[in-house]
Amino acid sequence: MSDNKKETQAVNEFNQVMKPVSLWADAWKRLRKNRMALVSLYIVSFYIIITLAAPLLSSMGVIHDYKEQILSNASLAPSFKPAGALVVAKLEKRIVDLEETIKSHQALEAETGYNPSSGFNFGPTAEVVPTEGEVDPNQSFSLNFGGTGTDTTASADPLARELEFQKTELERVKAEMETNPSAKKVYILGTDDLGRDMFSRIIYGGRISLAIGIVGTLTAALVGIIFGAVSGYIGGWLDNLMMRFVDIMYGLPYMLMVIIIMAMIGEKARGSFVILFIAIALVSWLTIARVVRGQIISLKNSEFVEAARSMGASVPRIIFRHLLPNTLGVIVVFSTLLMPSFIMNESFLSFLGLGVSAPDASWGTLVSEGVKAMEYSTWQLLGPAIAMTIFLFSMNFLGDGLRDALDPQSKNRT
Amino acid sequence: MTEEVILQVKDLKTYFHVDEGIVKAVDGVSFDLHKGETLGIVGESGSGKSVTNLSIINLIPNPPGKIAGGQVLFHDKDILKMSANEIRQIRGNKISMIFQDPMTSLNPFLKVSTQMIETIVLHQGLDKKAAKAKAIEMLKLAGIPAPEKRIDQYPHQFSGGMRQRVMIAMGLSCNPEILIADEPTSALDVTIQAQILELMKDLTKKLGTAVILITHSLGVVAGMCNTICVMYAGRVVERGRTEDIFGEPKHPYTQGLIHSVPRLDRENSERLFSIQGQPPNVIDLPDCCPFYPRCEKAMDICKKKYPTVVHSENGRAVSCWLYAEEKK
Amino acid sequence: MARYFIRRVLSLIPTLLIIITLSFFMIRLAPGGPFSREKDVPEIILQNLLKRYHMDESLGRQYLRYLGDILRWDLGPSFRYRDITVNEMIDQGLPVSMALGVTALVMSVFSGVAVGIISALRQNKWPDYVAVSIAVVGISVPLFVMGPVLQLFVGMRWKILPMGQWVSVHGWKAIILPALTLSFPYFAYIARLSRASILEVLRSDYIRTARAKGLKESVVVWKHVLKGALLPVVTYLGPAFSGIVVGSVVVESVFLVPGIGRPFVQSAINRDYTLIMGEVVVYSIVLIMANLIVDIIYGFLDPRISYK
Repeated sequence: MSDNKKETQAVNEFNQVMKPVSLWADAWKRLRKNRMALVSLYIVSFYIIITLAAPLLSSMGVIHDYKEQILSNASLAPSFKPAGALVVAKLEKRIVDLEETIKSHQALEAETGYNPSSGFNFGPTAEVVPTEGEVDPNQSFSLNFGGTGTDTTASADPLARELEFQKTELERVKAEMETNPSAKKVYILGTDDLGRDMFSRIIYGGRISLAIGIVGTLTAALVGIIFGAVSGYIGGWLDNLMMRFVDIMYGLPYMLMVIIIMAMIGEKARGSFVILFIAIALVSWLTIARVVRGQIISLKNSEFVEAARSMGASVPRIIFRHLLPNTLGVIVVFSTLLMPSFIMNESFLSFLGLGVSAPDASWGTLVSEGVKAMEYSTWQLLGPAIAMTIFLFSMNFLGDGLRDALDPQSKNRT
Repeated sequence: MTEEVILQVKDLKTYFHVDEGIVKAVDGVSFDLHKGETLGIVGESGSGKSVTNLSIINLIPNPPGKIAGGQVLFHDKDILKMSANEIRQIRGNKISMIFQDPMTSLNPFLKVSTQMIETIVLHQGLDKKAAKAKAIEMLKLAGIPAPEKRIDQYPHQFSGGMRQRVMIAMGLSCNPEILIADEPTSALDVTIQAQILELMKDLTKKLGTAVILITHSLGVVAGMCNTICVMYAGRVVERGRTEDIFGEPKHPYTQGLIHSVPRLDRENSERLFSIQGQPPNVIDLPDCCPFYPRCEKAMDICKKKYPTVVHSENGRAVSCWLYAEEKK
Repeated sequence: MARYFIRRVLSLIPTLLIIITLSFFMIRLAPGGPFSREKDVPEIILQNLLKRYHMDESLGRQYLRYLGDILRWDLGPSFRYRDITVNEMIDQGLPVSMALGVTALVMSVFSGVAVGIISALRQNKWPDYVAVSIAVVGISVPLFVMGPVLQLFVGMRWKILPMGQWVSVHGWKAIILPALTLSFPYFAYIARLSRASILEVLRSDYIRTARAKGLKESVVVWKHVLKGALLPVVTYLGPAFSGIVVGSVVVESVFLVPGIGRPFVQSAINRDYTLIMGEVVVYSIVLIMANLIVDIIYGFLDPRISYK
């Protein structure tokens, strides 16, 4: 055996090559085998990259400006066709609907002498409000207000008036289709009620949700770690007290308190993300505290701790330099699982209007708006909802995969 | 031994498929068990002793484990080929097994009476009342005071030694032909160990039960067993009657084991002996004698091929090139 | 046993006290008052209003006064809804909310455990994958998405179930959608929890013993495995019920259920002190009692715990 050259590979007694494996390399190998976790990892990374690159993409014109409101492009469905074509299609459909309704009313009039729509005249008609559907034929009185509208040449029938209006609109839009830049835009996930591009809104919403999620999780984790480590290591009455505290908090709807706090704080303070973090972090640190405490308790009597103590290491040093690095695995797992819950809580608050405030929008805000528009433009709800769900789904699978990879004896091992 | 052979293990192989490779936990184990005989299986941790016994009643978790070959003939019927129904009639009934840690081996959520009665009702067809009476009787035999009261308690209300007595009582309650005891005393205090072993010896003699006792302690084996199997890295390296093995250990490993036992009758000045090295990692072992890295008498051929088994009188067998050479 | 129970009930009181005190001062100290949103009220009327609600006294005195009120179970008049007292609102709304919450909890437990069992026993086969996926969906889709979506499709488009309102209007069918929405995330969590727990128990030594005794696999599962494996689910019931309470705030609004969750957020925004405090007190009592009941049930089920 030559001693002057270092062995590049370790060999066991049977002359078989042994590869040294560290804990993390081992875990990474196991994680790679778990296909769902790997896919989830890619998805999560994808989300993070896109949300980080969002301002860049926006300035490069790859995605539309998320703040820009183009009212003429409002409430368009997702499509690869340019906005102009969609608006034209919408107008054409409306015109067809109107023509049919008018025809049917005229037929009714021919038979019964009664036209359901000409009786109504709600005054000045400078701005025609499109009726949502047919006029109720049961309302048969025909008060004619005449009105001071500029358009007295048109018939008193509001449907006919609208038909004229839409026809002119159609002509105008068709003419502008090539020249107006707004008409050329493609909205692959559609637009909302104010003509804002859903795709970029969802990406920017992701920026906010993810930022809140990451920072918030880190904060909650930090609080939980310190609490759990101190409680677990020192033990005794301090541990008892702290754990009683955690127990009490665990069973109570702390979120209700958070709702109250956020509701009372007032709009100005609510805009501050810091308050939002703190509020939600207060709810989330409990599990991590418990878990870290458990780990510390099981580790604190190990030999390496005794060795450190016998060398005169102080308590904080033991906790932070020796014990915590060994609990890192558990911390990583639970933090990964904490993040989706954090984002859920934040979107819950935003949904109630108590979270992120305009003009910023998180996924929760977007979903909240989407719910309001659910009936007539479902994509406004489905777009952000699906985006958020996929992300949370992936984070959860990733967390599960990490847990299996880092601790093969853990409860979820298949 | 002129008694009939009731159990024959022939070339048993049990492998575990894990990410890193195939663990050949048991790789060709053979031995015979006679009626009323107490057989001891000795070996270090990881030598495959527990897996051997779990394989006998086909209790290997599958996946990742699999019985890859061999036969286990109980009264000439191969257990490994039996249907699930047939095996269940043997387990707990003709062949009973007790485990190492009585705290985790008894269901903490069920009363002791429930756990004992279910076996008796299942295998002996008694009704619940009669079964309970029988259970109480077994507990008494096992040395548990006030068994009528204690039988309705939960396992956590018993001390470690008492719990193991309960396990023994439960294991013997259907009067099995074979009792497999997997390190029954390793988890107990030393003083209790002796009591439990005495109890086992008494009861099994009284009931005529054959015993397969798994242990890592030579002392236990010397006191209790008629025959010994020494296992290393998934194989039996030496087999024979207790007095033969202790009197004239043949395999270097056996010799090392016996030498390692501290002697009270020698001078204190000697260093304690231990076999140098570590038991091997049994994944993907090459074809050689697994003991050779630690063997003082290793020869060239030991690195290349697994030694053939050499049989001699009185059921003696050893797997070592030292003796295969001699025979030549 | 009875002594333990009494001791636990007594220990509720300090917890309750802490919650009430914290909430009280937090709410009162927040900027703005119950009348700050109203259009300009003449000064003298404002003074009279403040006097009527004892808000001209020091905060400390108001606090003590409130404590006394609670003891007499007089939660005061609502600041916002002038013609109804908080007691009345709670009397009307609490049974509704309790019915909804308990239904949701029961639904989540039964379906969650059932799915968990199937999933664990058919591990890595298709029922397992389906179950695990549904469970992950359940904990990834927020309540406030699930609710409106269900409402839209099941209620409006397919017209299978009523979209909203409560039993008095639609009969018992009205409970289904809101309870389903509320229960879904907890059903998912319980399914995962019971699956993991059963899998772990299946690997334990005492199950090995049971099999070594020759018991049939079905007996092993039903008699030996389940009892221990489901204990973590019982422990989870406390936080689950707490989550259901929080979720009901949204679900009641979406489905127009006349419970006490619906006015919650708005009353906080309105600074309707009495109503919001009343809700906090009631919710706290309900949850603390629920946790106590869960603890006791757990104590009955786990023989290793003794209540001496």
